[in-house]
Amino acid sequence: MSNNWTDIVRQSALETQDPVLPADDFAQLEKAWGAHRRRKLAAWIGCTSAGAFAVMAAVAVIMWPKADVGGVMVAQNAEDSIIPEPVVLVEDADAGEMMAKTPSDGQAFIRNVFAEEQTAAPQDFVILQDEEKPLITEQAVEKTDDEVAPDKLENVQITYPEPQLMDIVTVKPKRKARFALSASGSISNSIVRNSAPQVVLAPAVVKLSRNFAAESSPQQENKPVSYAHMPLPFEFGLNLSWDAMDNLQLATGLQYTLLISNCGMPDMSFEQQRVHYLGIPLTASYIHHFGRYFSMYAGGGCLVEKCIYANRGNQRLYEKGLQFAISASAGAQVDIGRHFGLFAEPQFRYYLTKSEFTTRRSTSPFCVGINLGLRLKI
Amino acid sequence: MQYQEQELAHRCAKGDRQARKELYTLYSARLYGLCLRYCTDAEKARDLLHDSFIKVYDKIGCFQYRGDGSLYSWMARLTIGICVDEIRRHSKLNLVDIDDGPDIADEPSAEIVREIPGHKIRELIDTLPPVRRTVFNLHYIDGLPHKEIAAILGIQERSSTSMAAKARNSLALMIKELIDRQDE
Repeated sequence: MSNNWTDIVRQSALETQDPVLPADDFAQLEKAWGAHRRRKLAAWIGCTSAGAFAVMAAVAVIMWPKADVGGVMVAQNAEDSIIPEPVVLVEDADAGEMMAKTPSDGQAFIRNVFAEEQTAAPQDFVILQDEEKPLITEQAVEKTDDEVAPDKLENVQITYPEPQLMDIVTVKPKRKARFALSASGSISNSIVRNSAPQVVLAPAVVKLSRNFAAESSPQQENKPVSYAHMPLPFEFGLNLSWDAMDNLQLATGLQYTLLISNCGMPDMSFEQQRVHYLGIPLTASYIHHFGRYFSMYAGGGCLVEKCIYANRGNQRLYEKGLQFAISASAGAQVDIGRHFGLFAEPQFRYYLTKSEFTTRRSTSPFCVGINLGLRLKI
Repeated sequence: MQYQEQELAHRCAKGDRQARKELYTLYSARLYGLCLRYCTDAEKARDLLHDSFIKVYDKIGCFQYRGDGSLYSWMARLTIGICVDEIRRHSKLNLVDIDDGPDIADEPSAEIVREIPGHKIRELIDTLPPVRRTVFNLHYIDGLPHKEIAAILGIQERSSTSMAAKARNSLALMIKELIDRQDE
């Protein structure tokens, strides 16, 4: 037995019976543990998505093609040319050199000859130009495939009955649209058995803020909702998309969501609850073009939302934290002219965090919706 | 025991709900007592207990068995860290102990202290200022060396020694006053 008084204090402090924990304490702990895991998953997905987005953006920046790659010239082989195939010359304006595109091995030879004598035409091929009727016009290029990189023009073959030795003709390739602004509106529905509009018997509790609670009567705190009638949510978004690569599009922007719930209160009164969210989506899509005017795409991403305003009747409600969701979508776009496109985009979304409000989302985290919008290509 | 602790930790790490409940049943009362010593408010202590268990569930994959009771010791360390963080976050732990406190008080004898009921001693400890209570708990109750306390609190080792001495003096004085009142 210790004779030090602090040891006795220690023994007494450790052996003193502590207050008993409530019976439902483990259930509450499990609930907190579940919420913690969801938050952790959401943070992991958010960080991973942001990381993937940053990597894709970095790769896209590195692979960003030069704005003006150069001109395209078509030449016809001379009669005694050692180059059997048709030749297309591509001028790299930035590098100040000529590239001859031909399936044969004559490329280097042509480049060397041309580099030495810029003003004279090489002997093995002649450059064609008709001043009255330019050899390579925009139409001529379009006819082949003007939207692809110049190096794909290697099989262009334009023949003239009497080839003439001419000056170099340079045609700037048309710039490809890289950015697009889109505005879309959508309606979405939680996947539940009942068809919309939905009525739920909601035992959910809406927590009122401390500020509000201070202003209101004590009875109004934690006011339960007996039932709620919930029309379909409305969303509106403004997005900026970027063709990072030929088939890869990255998009982000702002998305506004309005969730309305008509709540029946226990005292038989009726109040409308309106929750406004502002979110930032991050998506990556794979696009496949079917001809010039039609394309389809599929992709996925994530969405982070923050409640910017909420009220029920005259009462202001608050929600702490952010809402995280992951989404997958597939869409089709029809281009109207060079700069506009109409798109329809069915979308599935899964909310990783649960809203504190009695809304359509609180009935099921899994939502399906359709985005309809207009895209302006810059 | 070794098998029990390791097996329980392993099952918890695998996400077994039953194992989590078992862990909670075994250790929640002791850890709750620990939280109550650092944070005197019962509701707050319960929140801290939940935070501790969440951290335990999260990190239990890192637990290494080092003899009987090592699971509790490991959990207690995590809980102490959470309690100290909470106290620090709410600025209750002003680490500059301005008040010099009483001089070396006449220390009570072990026999006298043994006669005081445990809950009374707990009450006396609870009345210590937060900084002294925390250091007293860390050193005299949980048995942490001053070097480790200094690391936890982000202070110098000699400051920890000084604070512990002041806390000890304060408690000795309070015990003496309590005994005097009882004698009257």
